[in-house]
Amino acid sequence: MEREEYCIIEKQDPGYPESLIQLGNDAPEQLWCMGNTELLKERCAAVVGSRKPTRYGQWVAFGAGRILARHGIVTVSGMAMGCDSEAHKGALYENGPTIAVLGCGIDICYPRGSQKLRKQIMEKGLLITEFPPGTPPTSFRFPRRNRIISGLSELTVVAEAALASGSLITAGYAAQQGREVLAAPGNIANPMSIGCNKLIQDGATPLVCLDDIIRTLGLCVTAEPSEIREQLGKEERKIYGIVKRNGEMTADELAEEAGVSVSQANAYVTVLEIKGFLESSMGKIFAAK
Amino acid sequence: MYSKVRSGTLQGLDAVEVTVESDVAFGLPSLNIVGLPDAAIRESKERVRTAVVNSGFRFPDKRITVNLSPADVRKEGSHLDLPIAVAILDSAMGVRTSAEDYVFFGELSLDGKLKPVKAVLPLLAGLRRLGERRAVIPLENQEEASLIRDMELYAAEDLQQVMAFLQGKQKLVPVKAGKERIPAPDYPDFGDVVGQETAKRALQTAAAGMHNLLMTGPPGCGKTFLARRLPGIMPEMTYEEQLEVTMIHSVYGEMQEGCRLMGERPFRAPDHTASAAALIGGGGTRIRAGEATLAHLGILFLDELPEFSRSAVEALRKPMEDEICTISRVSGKVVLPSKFLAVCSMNPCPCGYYGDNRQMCTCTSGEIVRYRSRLSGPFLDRIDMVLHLQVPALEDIRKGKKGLTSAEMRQSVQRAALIQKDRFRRDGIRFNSQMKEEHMKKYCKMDKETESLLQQAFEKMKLSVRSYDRVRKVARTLADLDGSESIEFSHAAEALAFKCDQELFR
Repeated sequence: MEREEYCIIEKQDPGYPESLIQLGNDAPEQLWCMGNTELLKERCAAVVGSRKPTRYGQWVAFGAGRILARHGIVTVSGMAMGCDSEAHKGALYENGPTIAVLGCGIDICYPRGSQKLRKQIMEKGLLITEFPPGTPPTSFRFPRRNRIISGLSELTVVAEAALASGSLITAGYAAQQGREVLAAPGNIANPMSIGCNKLIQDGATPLVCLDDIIRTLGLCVTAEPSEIREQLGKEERKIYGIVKRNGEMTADELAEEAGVSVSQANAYVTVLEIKGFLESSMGKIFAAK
Repeated sequence: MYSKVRSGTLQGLDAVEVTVESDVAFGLPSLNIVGLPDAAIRESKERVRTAVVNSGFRFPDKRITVNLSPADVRKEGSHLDLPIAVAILDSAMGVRTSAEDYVFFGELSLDGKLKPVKAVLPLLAGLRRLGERRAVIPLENQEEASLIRDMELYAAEDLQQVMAFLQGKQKLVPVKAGKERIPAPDYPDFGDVVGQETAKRALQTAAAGMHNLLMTGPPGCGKTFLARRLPGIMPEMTYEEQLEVTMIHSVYGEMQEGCRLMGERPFRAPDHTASAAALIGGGGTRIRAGEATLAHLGILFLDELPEFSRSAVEALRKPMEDEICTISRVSGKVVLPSKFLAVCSMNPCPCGYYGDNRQMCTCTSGEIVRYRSRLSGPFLDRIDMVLHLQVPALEDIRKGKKGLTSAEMRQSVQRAALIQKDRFRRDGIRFNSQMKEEHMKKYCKMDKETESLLQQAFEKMKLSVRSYDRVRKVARTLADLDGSESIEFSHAAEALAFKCDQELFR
């Protein structure tokens, strides 16, 4: 393997981010960095969430990464599987900047199988960690790492969290550090949503739409070109509307509500999926926009 | 004096013609059998000698040599007793007989009676393919043999009758072709399945085009429930197919009633502890067929696919690709047919509840990745359709909404099967899933709009080239189910809904 170049930023260096100095004693002594360290001076927002999200959680994280990138904000996350990776991918999808804060040495690729994402972040974004090279990814280090994620960021978006999720720790740090916490509300029947809903109960700002992230940062939302009217036929619009209204549904349910045969319903879903309006996963259909 | 008589022996399920030559020469009285006989045949010397004498003939007190040709093929079984006896008598008696016109099978008892032989059906069917049209068989085998249609079969009780028949002194009654079939077992009906209409459509498609199918979904969503109903909607078998299946099951299966045709396609559901040998066949000197062969022309249901051992699943790759199982052992190589419809099921994760609304999944993400990585990519490459199931809504179950029944589903499957049979009559295949590149060029034509849909799907959904082809084949079957000549836009779009997606490979 080729040697990867990394650099160290000490607490007293001028390149050390202001946002972390505010943490006082909690601020890491040095940061091992790989990639574009200029990003540490930019405005950042954290997007975190469950490592095992539902399709909905993935969608929130990916969408948050995208919308942040479109507005020139750096997406900060932990490169864990699930929501974290989705957030990075969302930012990269829009060719935006992103910072991954690792819970292990900078030279260790964790989680395994994330080489491709790691490489992309190294090229277009930044990898940082407070742990010296060679530190193994042990689970007790992750909570500490989370304080850097929230510390770097003006606000933290929790995309999806179950009751015992590590993202709640990040949200806790953010609150301690006096940063805004936004939580995406979820279906109250779904155990994967309890953590987020509880955050809202405890005073986090509910993320009613993705634009809320941008408004909370005090920016104006730049409108995304509207495509629904132009791209979809009448039936397709109807199907899309039904899915959007229901949140998630199976093809059978969709067929019944739309009054079409299951084969037609499946065909519409595929077409809408290709056009990017719907997504299907494990037998369930979601609105992707 | 020299004479020869024809018979056969089995290699796997293929019959090989065996010529029994006999020469009676002057010399010290002896009987030698050459030409790779097994123990049962070597012992037939004594049976033949005694049976001939007890049937009222004089056993020639000369030097007799019997040769079984081709000399390099190992011959098995006691069914060569009768041809050996006929050859010896024919060469010794100096009377003209019509022994050359027939093939003979039969084990001799010491009193000259003919005893039934094993696997008479594949022997006769194989020799029929080699061009034989007349045979003499033991009386007790006549029921099984009656499944063979266009052959003149004569059943005899003992050696004396056979010789009298060959000399034209006595007539034997030809065996009538039987029509009796094993009645179809009572398969559970799809009418009992509430909701799950997409699943039914997918299973119907799999049945019609013999498309290998993988079902995923949380426990209780009805994977096994659905699979058990699949045999009830499979297309009917032709006579040739019935014969083939019956042969396999009479030789290798547990079929008790070897005398009736299997009218229904087999449904095999091996346990997940099955070894590679259990699935594709094995054994030492005596080869046993595996589940893949027993499921020939039927369904092989692999419940809980990731629980099967890796080697067992990998072993199925070749049968799925080539439609044969090759068992190579020291004693020789046996090739058995195994064209089956593979239906697999799996949970989305080890605990089963990943993605389920009702219950929380307790697996770590690493566990889920490991679980899914147990599916081998090359195996998944041979899966045409993937069906993701969810537990149907409780209200639907309570309402007891009746959907399609098996009878209705089978009707369109049957129609699609006939369309395919007609389409492929010159191509040497029977189902859409068997189409090769050249067939797809001919039969999977689509209009521009549909082509561009597939093109977009290929790029956006990151289909592999293989799964792209599979989508086209499934679209062809969907069109056949609707009785449509061409593949319409909706067929292609629907086929994409059942594509083998990237999600499983992660």
